[in-house]
Amino acid sequence: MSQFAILIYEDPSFYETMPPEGWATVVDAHHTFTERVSELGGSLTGGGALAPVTTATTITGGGTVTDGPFVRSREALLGYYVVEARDLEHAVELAKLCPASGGGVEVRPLVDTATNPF
Amino acid sequence: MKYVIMFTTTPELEAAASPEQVEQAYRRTYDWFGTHREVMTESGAQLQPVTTATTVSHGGDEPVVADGPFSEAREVIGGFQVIDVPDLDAAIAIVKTWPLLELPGVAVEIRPIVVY
Amino acid sequence: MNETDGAAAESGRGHAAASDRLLARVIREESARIVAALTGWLGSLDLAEEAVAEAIEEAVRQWRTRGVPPNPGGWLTQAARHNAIDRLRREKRYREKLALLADPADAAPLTGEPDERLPLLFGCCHPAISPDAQLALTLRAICGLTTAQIARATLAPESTVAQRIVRAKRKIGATGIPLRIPEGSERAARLDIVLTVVSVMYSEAHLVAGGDAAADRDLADDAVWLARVVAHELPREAEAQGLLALLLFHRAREGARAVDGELILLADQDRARWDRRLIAEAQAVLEKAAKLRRPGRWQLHAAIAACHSDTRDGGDTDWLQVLTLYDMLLAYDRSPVVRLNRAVALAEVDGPQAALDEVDALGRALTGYHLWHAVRARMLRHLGRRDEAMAEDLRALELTANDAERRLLAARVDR
Repeated sequence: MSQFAILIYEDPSFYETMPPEGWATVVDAHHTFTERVSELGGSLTGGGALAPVTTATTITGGGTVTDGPFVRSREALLGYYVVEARDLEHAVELAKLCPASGGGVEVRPLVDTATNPF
Repeated sequence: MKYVIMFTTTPELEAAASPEQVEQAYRRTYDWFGTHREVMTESGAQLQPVTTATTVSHGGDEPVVADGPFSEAREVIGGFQVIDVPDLDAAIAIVKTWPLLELPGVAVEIRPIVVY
Repeated sequence: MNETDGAAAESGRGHAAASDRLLARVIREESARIVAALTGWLGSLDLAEEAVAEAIEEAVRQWRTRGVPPNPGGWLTQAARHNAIDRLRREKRYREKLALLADPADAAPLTGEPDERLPLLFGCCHPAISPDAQLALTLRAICGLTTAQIARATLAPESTVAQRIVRAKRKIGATGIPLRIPEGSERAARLDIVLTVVSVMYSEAHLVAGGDAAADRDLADDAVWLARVVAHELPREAEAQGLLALLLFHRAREGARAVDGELILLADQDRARWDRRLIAEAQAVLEKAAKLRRPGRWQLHAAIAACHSDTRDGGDTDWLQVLTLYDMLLAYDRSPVVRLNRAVALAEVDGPQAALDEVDALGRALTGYHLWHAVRARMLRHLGRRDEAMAEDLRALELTANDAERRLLAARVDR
């Protein structure tokens, strides 16, 4: 098994304009996702939801602190999962089930810190 | 408070640094994680280069799988780590010592983690 | 420092109508303390600031006609608390939240230590907040300006200002920006941001598009007031004293700089119109700063202003000293605007050609900045290149939004 990150990129306005009852649906969808991952032979080893991009602070070279995100794009990173999967194909299969209606997800293999001291 | 710190680079800018400089800086990141062990939570990941990325986009009827990163931005995420510190100033103080900040095009983005 | 008692007395014990100037003085004296105390009580800067802003709007409306009440701070505090509870009631889980609030009678006294304003100020000027928002939030939470007043003073649409303030407040709450005075190695850099915001506040007051030179004195007055608060609360910070001295030197020349709505250049100003009392105060503050033996850019700016304040007329300026101070300033601040100002001194010492070379070297950074074109025009005129000078003056004129500055430049073009 190898570890993969599923990075969730969505248009922030997708959530900003969502009615309160929509939130329950989102939470349910993520709950379903976590169940489906284990049904399909994978396992989740981590995950988190990020506060909106408006809360981002960036530190650049020389320690300069500025308001806002560093990665400027229409869709922003709003959350992530770390999954264990057999291989990339398996990871992508799982990623397809990850809720990201306001955009999509990116699958990236993790550096194995056991073999890579960085 | 929990914050995710995102280690980002701009590959086309980072290429301007010498391989020795890059290697030297990357080596020190290992010590950096050690120095700040107490604030590191278990959540974090070091990602393989963006060239290994696969994207699943939604919007249509079926999710579409494609090679490459989701975002077309010049800046890419190289990894992230969740830290637990009292406030934003504490997070900034730690992030300012991130060794890779010496390299061109490198930045760290700090965002609070949502607690449900 | 406390002007409120005098202010209440001045208003005829709260029965006569209050002038805008008096209102500004009373409100800014109270605003930051009440926001700070309510933030502690409610645990939310967003809510506290909203409640205080609403109370200030009510106060401005009422006091303008009915006069300032005998205890304006108490009035504003009561009104703000009332607004905060009202807002909480509109929320779903208000009972839980209200229960969490301490009885105001038991809570820390709302007119506590004077320094509670400084931690709030450092929070408003945190580098994780954009510079525009730092200024807007400081004007509102610290100086007690209404959104409409900030919009007028900073030439931004009211909706933009409101949005900046809301975003900044929410960011402070959501990202855990601490409201405290930074200690140790962080202090100097963070203080510099605070001082920059105060300095921008002062200069914005003079650049109102379509306004006259003397218009919007309030913001300059607020900036001097805030510089006094910071210098007073941080007496060991040389740069805080430096900024206060700088603003006082500028304030002292105000009466000569703008006469009947027209701008007068420093060299042509009538020295008799300078406020000698303010100049003496500025000199004393700058000397106090120098004794702390921690030089910095604000003290150097103030020292340059001091050189000009020593002159009896435009002709006896010690330009070599001014240039030397600018050279020292470059060690702290190499920004194009500082180098442009240095070029003016350079012209007086080494002649217009040396200065023009320097001005041209700044072209890439400053093309489109009206003063760059104006300074360039001046150098060209001294070199006898009249047509080019005229073209630059016209360009400066096109780029200037302020009426008084426009008239000043137009007079040159007509010549």
